Amino acid sequence: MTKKPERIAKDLVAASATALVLAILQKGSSYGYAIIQEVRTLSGGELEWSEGMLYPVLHRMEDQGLIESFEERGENGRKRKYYRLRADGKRALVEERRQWNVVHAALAKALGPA
Amino acid sequence: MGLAGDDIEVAVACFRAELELEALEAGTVDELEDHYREAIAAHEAKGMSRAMAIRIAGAEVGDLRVVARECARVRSNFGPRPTQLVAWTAAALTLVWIAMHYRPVPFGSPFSFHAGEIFVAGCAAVAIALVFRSPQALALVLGFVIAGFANVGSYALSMLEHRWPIVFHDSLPVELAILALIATRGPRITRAALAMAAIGWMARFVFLGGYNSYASGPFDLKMTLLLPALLLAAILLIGARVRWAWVACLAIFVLIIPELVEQFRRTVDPDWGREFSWPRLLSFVSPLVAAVLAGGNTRSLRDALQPLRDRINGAPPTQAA
Repeated sequence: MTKKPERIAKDLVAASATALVLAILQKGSSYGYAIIQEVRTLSGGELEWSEGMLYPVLHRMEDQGLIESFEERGENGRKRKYYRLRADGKRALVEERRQWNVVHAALAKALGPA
Repeated sequence: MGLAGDDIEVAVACFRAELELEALEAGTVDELEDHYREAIAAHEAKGMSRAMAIRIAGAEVGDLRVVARECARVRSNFGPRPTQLVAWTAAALTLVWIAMHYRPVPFGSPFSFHAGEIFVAGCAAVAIALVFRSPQALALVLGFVIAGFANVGSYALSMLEHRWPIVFHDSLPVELAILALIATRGPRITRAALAMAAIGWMARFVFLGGYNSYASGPFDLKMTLLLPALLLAAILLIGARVRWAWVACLAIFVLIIPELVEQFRRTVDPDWGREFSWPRLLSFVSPLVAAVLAGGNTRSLRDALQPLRDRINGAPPTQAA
């Protein structure tokens, strides 16, 4: 009987949240629900973000000036809050990418082939 | 939300009510509502019945109180949720302040007995409400703003008709605390109340003789208070970061210190209001510290001016927080 793989550790999910949001918003503006779906798709369903995790991250990033929000009417006619990258966010993404590449390369060398 | 059946509006109303228990700001509640509606629509699009879609979407969101608490850590009607350390520090400082005012001698009370009781009880209620993130905190703060107006009114009446008592004659620190308490992230009505309180408060200094018990030193305290007060009001109104409100609050009290020292050097008047004492000064500072800690506001000036920049640049309007 194969053992079901454990869920990604909370700390790892939290640590990668900013980088993922920045990377998703680099492709274009998006909103909360769509970001969660995108993360699920990108991770093949391994990363399950909750609302209680996503929105504080988005709001904190907005307070830090990395992203900004704006409202637009959705197809149902209701106002929807979208997020997009700011210049500081683009710079932060460059740095996040560099740091994650360093971590990834170090882990790849340390752990060896799967 | 199990009671909602297949009525989306009932489900959404329940959803919002649960979130609002954490005093989340309206923008965040709207955003979460949109998320919930989108999740329901997505499940319906997959062929689920509406009742089932509502149930599944609710289960996906999980415990709404937990979601609301997490969101309130960053944003709520009262700015970011304080950490436990900050919250308990605020509560402790408020208790110090309350203790000061109930101590009959040797420091006396800066309030008349009646007003002192009202404000002490009110401040305690506000502090407790803020520490526990009660949705009633907003109502309490607004109540204090109304008390500020009563203050101005009682001054005006006492000027016109001497038989009217000055009810709240030493409430400056409380009024400052009110200004600091009301986070500018709040609803427009809160900001409007803040603006009116600030204007009323400053009008008292300009037109009604100001803070008379301290006005006999080498500095004209009315004027030394007016500029930082204007600064503080402006900072709070435009929604600058809390550290700038801090700077303004501290500037006010730094300006008061020389006046109080001068009063101490004279020590000719047995009237408590003319004597300097550190406990008394502390009693003035502590509610402010408590208020700023508990009601901190992190909205930046840049964000406050974003709608204006959008208009100038012709970009789609960003949401006014």
